[in-house]
Amino acid sequence: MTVAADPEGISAREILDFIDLRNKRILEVGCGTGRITFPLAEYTEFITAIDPISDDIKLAREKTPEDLEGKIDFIAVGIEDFEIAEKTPLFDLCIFTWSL
Amino acid sequence: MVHALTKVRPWLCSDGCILVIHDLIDPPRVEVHKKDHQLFAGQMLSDNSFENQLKADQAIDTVIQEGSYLLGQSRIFENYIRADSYDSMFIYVAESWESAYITDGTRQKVHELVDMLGKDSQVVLHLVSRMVKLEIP
Repeated sequence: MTVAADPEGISAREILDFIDLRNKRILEVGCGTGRITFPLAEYTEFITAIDPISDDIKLAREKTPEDLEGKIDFIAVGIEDFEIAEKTPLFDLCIFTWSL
Repeated sequence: MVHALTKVRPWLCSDGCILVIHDLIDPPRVEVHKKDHQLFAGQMLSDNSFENQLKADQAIDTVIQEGSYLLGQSRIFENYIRADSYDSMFIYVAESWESAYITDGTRQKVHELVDMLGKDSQVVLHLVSRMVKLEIP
């Protein structure tokens, strides 16, 4: 059985409906395989997407559309262990999607 | 959750916000947002059972009366969020819960909430799966 999570993209539309993502830097916590990451990346400047499940991150990297490469940084790490580098620009938005 | 939210706060720019999205399938779930350093919260449910309608009403009650809200049965945010600090409150419901959100009791509670927040505040009932936004008042 194939289970499609949010196949209609409702969550992504919800976010886009509330927040202007243009020129925004986003931290997505619990990105999984990029369900939300990809649709949002089309509209925003850059997404740092983290998830502790390395297999999901690997799949997300493989699934990354060519036109979104360079706009997403998938990192296999949980929020507990994630740290940003000293000179990293601050984020405009942090999204927890099904991850709390 | 508190730990995770607390951890990311220093990484946000001054007008940054936190958006939490929960599964639409497993009720009851709560959405928590932080926007412009003001917190707002909402309740998301995915079926219209009487039990869940009660939970939703209770959650709204809790927000109104105590400045806190339920996450399942845990009031883990009660020392973290005060309703009078909200600029906005977004209450999310799934499509099948639509009948509950239009009940008089819920509507009255939302109006009470608006009154409490002040006339400049914004309360939005958002039917997630229908993308219908109802702004009150």
